[in-house]
Amino acid sequence: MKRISIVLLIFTMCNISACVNLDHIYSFASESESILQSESDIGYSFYQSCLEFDCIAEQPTLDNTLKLPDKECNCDTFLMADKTILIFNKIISGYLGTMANLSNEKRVNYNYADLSKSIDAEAIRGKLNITSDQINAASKLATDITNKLLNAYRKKKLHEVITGVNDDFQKVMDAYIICIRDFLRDQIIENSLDRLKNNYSTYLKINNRLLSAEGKEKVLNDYLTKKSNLEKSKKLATKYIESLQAIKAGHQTIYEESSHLDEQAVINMILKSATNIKTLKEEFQNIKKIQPSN
Amino acid sequence: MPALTTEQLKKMAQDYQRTGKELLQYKLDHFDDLSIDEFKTIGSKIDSIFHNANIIAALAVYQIGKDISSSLGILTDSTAKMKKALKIIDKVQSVIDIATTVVNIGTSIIQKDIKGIIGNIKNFSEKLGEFSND
Repeated sequence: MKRISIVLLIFTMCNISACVNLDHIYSFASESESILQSESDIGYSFYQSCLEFDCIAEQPTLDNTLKLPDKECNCDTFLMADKTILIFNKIISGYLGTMANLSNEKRVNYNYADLSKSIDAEAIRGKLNITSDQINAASKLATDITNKLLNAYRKKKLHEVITGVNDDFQKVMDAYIICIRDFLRDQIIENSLDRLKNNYSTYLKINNRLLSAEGKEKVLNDYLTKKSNLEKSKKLATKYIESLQAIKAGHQTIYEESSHLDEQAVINMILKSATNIKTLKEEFQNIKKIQPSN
Repeated sequence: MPALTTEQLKKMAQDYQRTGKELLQYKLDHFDDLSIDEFKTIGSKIDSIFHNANIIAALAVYQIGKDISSSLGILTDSTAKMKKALKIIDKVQSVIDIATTVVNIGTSIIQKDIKGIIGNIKNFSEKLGEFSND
């Protein structure tokens, strides 16, 4: 009879907490946070473009020294843009990182072992008139119930936050994507490629007669190396943007399905989204590893 | 004068960029025809055009940050709410640990173990301190 009661109790607790499994949310949030950490790996910024093209004349000189430009160099506006992008990154990754922690069931495993050991001391056990087996069983049951109740609490909090913030999350992600795609990649990096070409062509025109064949080859190689580095940054930015779009879509899915996050079809959808983000992250890392070639 | 929208800034940056690209193409197409001075002058203009496009792009990013600041604030608040929930989750284990020290004090009292009572009370105060500091 006692055993039946215990089984019934566990069954009831399991129903209360709906046997919550948040692994899929954890996978999505942790993979998303991880790719956001690699933003600086794009390897180019507003400030860097200012330093390279406005503060230091890009054209090499014959004695191979850097030439300072005539105009005054002020990169404050560029620093401000980088700071704005950094704020976006920190706020989004802070949100996703905390979501990962909240959905991580392995983060805390409630443990009654010490408590049961304390009660199991002969002095206490004798007073309470219970056996060691009963204490162990109660400890296991308490652990199970606590874990399940707290998982239900995590699920409730995640549901509240995700449903309340999704509209703003989508807006912030859109804005962040615009900053990286339309302005960092399509303007700053793209313009740097053209400014590089502009500077080197002017240099070649001016020094055409002074340079030996070997000298011209050296200048060309120098140009191609810098061009290759910028093109790599462009590719990394493109992959990073794809990852941001996947994160945005994944969060939208979680929001739309937030009332039945335990259904297998929904779990599969969210896990697919997490896998997609993981693949994009791997592709990003592979581009990063490629050595620029001339 | 009203501030320019992000879209207007984006369009301006794109216009500058397009002009810069066209001039650069002209310069490269006439590498042999133009004099060194002409080449340098066009090159300097091209650089200024791209510099202006970059300045506008930087201003646009700053503008986007300002436009979206309330949503960024809401996202920050949501993160704080989740952190608060995490604190509560972490505190549960602290409560279990406190209960353990209470039982240990009880055991020491029953066993009339003075050293044990003192040690467990000290342990209890420490646990309580950790709990209230969270």
